[in-house]
Amino acid sequence: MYFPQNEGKEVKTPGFGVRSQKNSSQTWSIPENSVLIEDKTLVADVTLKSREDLKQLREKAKELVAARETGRTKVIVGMGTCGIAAGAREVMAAILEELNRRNVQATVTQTGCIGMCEKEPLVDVQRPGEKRITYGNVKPSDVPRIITGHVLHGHIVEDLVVARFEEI
Amino acid sequence: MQLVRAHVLVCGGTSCTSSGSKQVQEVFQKELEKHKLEQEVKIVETGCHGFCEMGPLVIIYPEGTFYVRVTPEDVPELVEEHLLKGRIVNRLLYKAPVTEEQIPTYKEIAFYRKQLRVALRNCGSINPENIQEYIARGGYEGLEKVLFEMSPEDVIAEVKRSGLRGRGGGGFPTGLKWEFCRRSPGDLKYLICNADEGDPGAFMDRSVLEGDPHSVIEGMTIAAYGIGCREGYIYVRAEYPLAIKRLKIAIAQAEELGLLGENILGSGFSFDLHIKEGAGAFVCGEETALMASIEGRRGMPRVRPPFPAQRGLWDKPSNINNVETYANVSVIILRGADWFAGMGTEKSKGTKVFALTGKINNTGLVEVPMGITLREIIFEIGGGIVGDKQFKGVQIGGPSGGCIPVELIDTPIDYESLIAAGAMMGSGGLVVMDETTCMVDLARFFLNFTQSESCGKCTPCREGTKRMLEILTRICEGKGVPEDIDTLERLGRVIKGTALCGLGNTAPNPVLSTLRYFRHEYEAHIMDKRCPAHACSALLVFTIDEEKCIGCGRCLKACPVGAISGAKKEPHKIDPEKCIKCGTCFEKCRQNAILRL
Amino acid sequence: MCECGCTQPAEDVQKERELETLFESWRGVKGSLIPILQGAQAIYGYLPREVLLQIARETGIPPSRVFGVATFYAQFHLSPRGRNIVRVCLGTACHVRGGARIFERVQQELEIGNNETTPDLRFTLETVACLGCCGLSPVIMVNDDTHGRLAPDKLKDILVNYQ
Repeated sequence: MYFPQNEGKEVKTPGFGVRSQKNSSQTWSIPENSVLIEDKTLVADVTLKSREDLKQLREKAKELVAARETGRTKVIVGMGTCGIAAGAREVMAAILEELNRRNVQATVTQTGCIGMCEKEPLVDVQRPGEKRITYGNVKPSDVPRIITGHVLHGHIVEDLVVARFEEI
Repeated sequence: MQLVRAHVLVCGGTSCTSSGSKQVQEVFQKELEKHKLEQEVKIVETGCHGFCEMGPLVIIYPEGTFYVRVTPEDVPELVEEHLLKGRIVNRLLYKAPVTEEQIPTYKEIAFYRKQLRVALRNCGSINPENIQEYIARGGYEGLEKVLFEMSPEDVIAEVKRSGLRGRGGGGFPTGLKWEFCRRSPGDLKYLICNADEGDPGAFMDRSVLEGDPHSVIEGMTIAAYGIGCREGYIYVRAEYPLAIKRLKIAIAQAEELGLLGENILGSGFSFDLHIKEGAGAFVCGEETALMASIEGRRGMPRVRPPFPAQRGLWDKPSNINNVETYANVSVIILRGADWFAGMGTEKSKGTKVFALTGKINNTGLVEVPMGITLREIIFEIGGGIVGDKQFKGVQIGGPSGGCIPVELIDTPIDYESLIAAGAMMGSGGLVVMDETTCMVDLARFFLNFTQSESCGKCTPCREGTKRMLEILTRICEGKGVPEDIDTLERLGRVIKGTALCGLGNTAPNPVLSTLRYFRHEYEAHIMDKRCPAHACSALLVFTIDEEKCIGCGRCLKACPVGAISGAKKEPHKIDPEKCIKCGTCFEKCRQNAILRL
Repeated sequence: MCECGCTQPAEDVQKERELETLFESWRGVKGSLIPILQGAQAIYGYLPREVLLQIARETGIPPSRVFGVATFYAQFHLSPRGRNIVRVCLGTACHVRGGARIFERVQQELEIGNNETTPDLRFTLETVACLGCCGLSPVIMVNDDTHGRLAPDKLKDILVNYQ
């Protein structure tokens, strides 16, 4: 499976440099022993040769996604251009650092724009078997509260909450 | 190794220590010894939990019970109740301020209540760089259905029946477009996705590409099967590097799984997809210009007919749709044309994504069913106007669109109603304006944009927009003459009727629609040399109200050009000859003695 | 080739190699002129005249057409650019929230106009039609950093950070 994200210990994400080819990528490094887990292992490397192959893969992906959601807390950062412009990269770095510092096991992943530009950067937390909660206008200084309060102990950080997802 | 039945975690962070966690720990040790539990229960000193205002913190495992503000006096009770009797000491428990149920769901917050997410169905919930998450949510199920259960004709018939129309602005029925291309003679046909979203204030397509690239890839593959294309291009603005990166990853993942390329899923159908990066030219959003750009030429439009469906990219029949259109396709196939046609109005089916910006509280990206009114979008989803300013109008459709005034705020959003109101759906930029926005200045802004983006091929657009811009600039500077309004209208109509491509045809719209609804503002600029919104600085006059002025000297000191004079504690004066109308004195005055006329 | 006859700096040799690789990777691909120009600009930072002529020779496309394309698109630059690119957004949302005032002040601070570069090559000033983060308007972007919710008075403190 093609996952270009964590080659080495760096995650590269392009900025949204306008008209500039040269400076269009920015690098931040993930702390040592990072807890950033990409879901590389979900589905084995396969080539789908028939309709049945795809059906099987879909079932497997569904099961694995569901299993993952009951197994491990997920932290999802909105990393669209608007989120990044509002500081999502700094928030992502703070999350990784905080998880690492506290040695908390959680899956950190990203998603695109959900539409609430006014409330970017947005961070979602989903604990196993619980609802996915969205926090808005998250600053790096808010991250410790979200990690210790919600990720670690399940206490929703009320003043930052925006909404919760209905379905898992 | 010795097994313990419970762990008592006492926070040893700086803050908890200063509020007495050390003593708590000591008392715990004593109490455990007293009850002979020291072998069974282990005390662990932990680092800071970040909940310092609740310290000292004690957490007892295996239950993970979280006690806050524990004093040494509380410890005997904790040991006796919790560790001996297994009863939780409720009074020391941390009370979570909210529970899940108390938090509104997305559907319950105003911003989402009236939204209906079809094209944006996965945006913001899946990881766009992981095809498995897309597949787990029913991705590529539409493609599967098409390849094994439907003929190409079925696909086109289904899309036609759904009533889907082009989301890039024109609103041409998508199924019909596909049919034209399918019927064009020739073996080699190209499929193109227009992701050259250039309208200022519009970022719908970018969000789809960044948030859910596979929905576009799947939609394109379905279209390619329906039309009979073997190869496709996605033309993305170079200004969207993140979208390009996510698309590249998505295409590579789809190729690896065999969802793009040769003999997809063993069906015998093959389709290859390439990315073409634009190079910064707004006119390339026009389909013939876009194709010229893919071919490596200057992106200039050409005369139609022949239409791209007859002769397009490299002179082969080509089909071109925009990002949002393709993003709708797989859902239509999967849930059926009837489901899709059940949303929206008689002639405009489904949903439309808008970028909501300007003087509005909730800026952002919204997807609403067709037929919803502007009032619902602006005041319910958008949360109304920033501050307590007066809502003046909304600019819809970017440089090709027009302004809709407050009187028409109950206009339903569909292709026909918007055109009747002098605007157009456009790609979906919605810019909200309040009383401080000058409509003449806004028209000038858009014309300045289209004028500088005009490719220069046809005279009406090249010369006409230039002349219109000159007139508008003149009006904003207070040098307008009464004939200007007629000249603008006449020029606008001529350009609209004679320009070569969509850019020129629609360029006068912002001027014509503001002339239609806000003519009084043009007249105020021309006749009274006054800008009602106080936005055109050349037309402002600053004076001092001598009754209110206390002669504090704040404005005098702040004036960058020394246009204000006056003795201390005496009313000051502004020299109109020297004044550059920067507005600094207006902002500095605490007595409201500066008048802006 | 260096016209003055001096020995070429290693950096230039490196760039020429990169350019060669670029030509190889697009040889025989139709519609490759724009990607080649983009690649060449990524190597040199702009498109020097000699490079444009070389592209014409390598691709067999007439120089007039190469120049035509290079001057048509806003992305391509035919003269050297500053170390820091300041882009002021003049999109609709920024316009209604005071983008023009920001632009004025940036021009004053840098003492250059639109599409100009400071003599010390520290800054190049550009405008863009929309940066796509309208929720943060008015916005400027310096290199890859976005600065949103701006007021003219904040600009000085932002620009001083870029050398």
